[in-house]
Amino acid sequence: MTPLWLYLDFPSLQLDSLYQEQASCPVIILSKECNQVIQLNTQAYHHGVRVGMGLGSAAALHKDLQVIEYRQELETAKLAEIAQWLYFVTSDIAFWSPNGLLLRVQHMLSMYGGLPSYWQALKDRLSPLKLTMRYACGASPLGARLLARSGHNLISQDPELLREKVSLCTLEQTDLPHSMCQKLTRVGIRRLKELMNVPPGELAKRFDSQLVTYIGKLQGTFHHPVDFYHPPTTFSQYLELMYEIDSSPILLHPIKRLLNDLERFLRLRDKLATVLEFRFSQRDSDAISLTVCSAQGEYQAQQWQSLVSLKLENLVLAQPVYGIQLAVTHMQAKQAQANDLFAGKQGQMNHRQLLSLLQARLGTNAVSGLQLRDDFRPEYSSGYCRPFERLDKQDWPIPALRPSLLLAPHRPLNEKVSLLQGPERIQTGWWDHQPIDRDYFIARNIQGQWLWVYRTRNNQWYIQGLFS
Amino acid sequence: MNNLLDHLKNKGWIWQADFTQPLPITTQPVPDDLDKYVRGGLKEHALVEIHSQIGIGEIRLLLPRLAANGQDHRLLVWVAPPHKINGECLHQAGVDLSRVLILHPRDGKEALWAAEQCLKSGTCHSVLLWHGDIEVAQAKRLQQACQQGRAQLFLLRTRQSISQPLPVSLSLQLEAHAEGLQIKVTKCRGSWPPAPFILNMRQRWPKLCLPQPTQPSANVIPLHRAS
Repeated sequence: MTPLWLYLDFPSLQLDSLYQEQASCPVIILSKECNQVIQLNTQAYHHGVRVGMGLGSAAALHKDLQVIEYRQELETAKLAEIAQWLYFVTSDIAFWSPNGLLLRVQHMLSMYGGLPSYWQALKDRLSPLKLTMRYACGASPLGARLLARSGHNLISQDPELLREKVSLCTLEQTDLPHSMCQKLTRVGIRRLKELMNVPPGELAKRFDSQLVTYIGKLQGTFHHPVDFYHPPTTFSQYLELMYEIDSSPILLHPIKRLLNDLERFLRLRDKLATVLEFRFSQRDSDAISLTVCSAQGEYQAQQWQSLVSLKLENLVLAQPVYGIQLAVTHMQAKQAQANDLFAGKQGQMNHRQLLSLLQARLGTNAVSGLQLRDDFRPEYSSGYCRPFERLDKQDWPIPALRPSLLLAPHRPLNEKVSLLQGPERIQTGWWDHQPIDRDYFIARNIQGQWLWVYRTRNNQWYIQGLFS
Repeated sequence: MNNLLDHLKNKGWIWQADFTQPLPITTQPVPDDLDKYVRGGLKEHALVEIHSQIGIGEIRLLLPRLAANGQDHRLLVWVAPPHKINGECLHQAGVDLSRVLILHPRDGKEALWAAEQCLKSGTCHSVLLWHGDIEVAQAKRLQQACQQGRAQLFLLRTRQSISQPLPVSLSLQLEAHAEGLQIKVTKCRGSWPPAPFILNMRQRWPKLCLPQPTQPSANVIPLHRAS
């Protein structure tokens, strides 16, 4: 399969990622280092501003010129966003800093059934982003880049045509350093054709290795290593609000958008999120964090939304919120759940989902399970624990009849009761400094309540349980 | 005339013999202690209201039913119990402790919400709810949630409220008795409530019944009516 590359060049990436409402007046992006205009919009162009102008001459052409400083990190971030967006359509994407993307095309052709339909799919994907773009195919990464940056906008698979187009490019259009271009001009070389026709051995004798490597990579005879883009493994998204929100239920609307993005992210990876971490940026105080958990793991935005709305009910906002950050750090693979087919419809959820729902509203500590422990002291032999903890031992002997409700703390026995069963002496716990030495009785009081009472060594009587 | 009948039916003020909807429990029906006295026993009533003093055996009345309901491996939920639940007692009664949830809501509103969520989720077989004052509309909601999730709700109320009767399927008033419990059925959907009866618990809980008097106690002095 002959290699085929496509280079997408975004000459005004920072300008395109600005808000649209500023487009009514002339805007330029100025590079601080070289004091040159590097990006400009059409209004600025109509007023005579050109790329490469200094700030002084550009400002002299229009009094309301908007000047924005060039920031490479913005372009890099935007480029990553484009790559993520394009990843749905094409697989092999490489960044070419600061404003280019290189796509490896040859593997995608059989999937799309030819170059035209592939290009159509790419174009459809890119069009909503409204970016200024130059593009070209090439037999090598450098060739594609050269043709794209010289404005060819060429989509072709024909190696002869691509080679011819490359050979017609001038040296100034290449990535070769300026000094080398001058050196080559002095010996009468103006176009790449003149270099490409020379055999590589001859070229190496006459020029330095940098040029030989460049020409070799351009023609595809030298290997050009490329690092391909891999989509991020964790989800983290920040949403800046258009206006400040000071009521927590209204926060749910922007959160919905984040959750929808999360759902798409998770569904493509076939994963479930178990913990969502929200950060609400506030105007004058520290950001609030909100953690929403799901015991079972969810990917659907709707399920998360109901859990988040329960959490939001308890959230008090002291200050208006202007930004929301959603980060997902814990993800797990989706697992099939085995439900009994013949048991009929089981309702809307399973028990882990119910647990998440209850914990979201009541708080994690308000939901507990029940567990037996290996201890004879009644206050330790049964205890609350995390829900759904399984008993290791199935056959657990219970020494005698035990009450269904336990009082904590124990209540002194202040009434007249008749002792009907007992005594049962429990004398244990010497190993952890909480020893007990009690005689237990089952008693009934005048109202007919069945009490579990005990007598200590000092003849003091307490109620510990109710045979409810 | 028809309109009036429809109106009465819609309000649930009239009962027709073909109208009963037993709970579609998938497991084998287990006989109930109450079967003899109340039509359908405990098992066929979705929402059971129990007025009782605490500690006279109101949970013991339910334990066999809870263990039987738990055969389908769904959850048993205790909402806002007045004291700590003892796992040993439940284990003795045959309840699977890993399928038990205990909820401690902050207030009555949250308790109702939690009970409703559990009931309608379809993952719980029974919910025990301790709640003092519950309104008619809330009880109706809970009843619907029971039907939706094929679950039973046992509503335990310590003090008998004087307010209007709730739209429950079965309403019991428990009194302590030497042999077990004296039960007065104030409402039983689908039939006339039976006369107050005594549920003998001696067989299930021999240690929690008063010893049978073999002879009149010597302490009791019969009073003679003055002639």
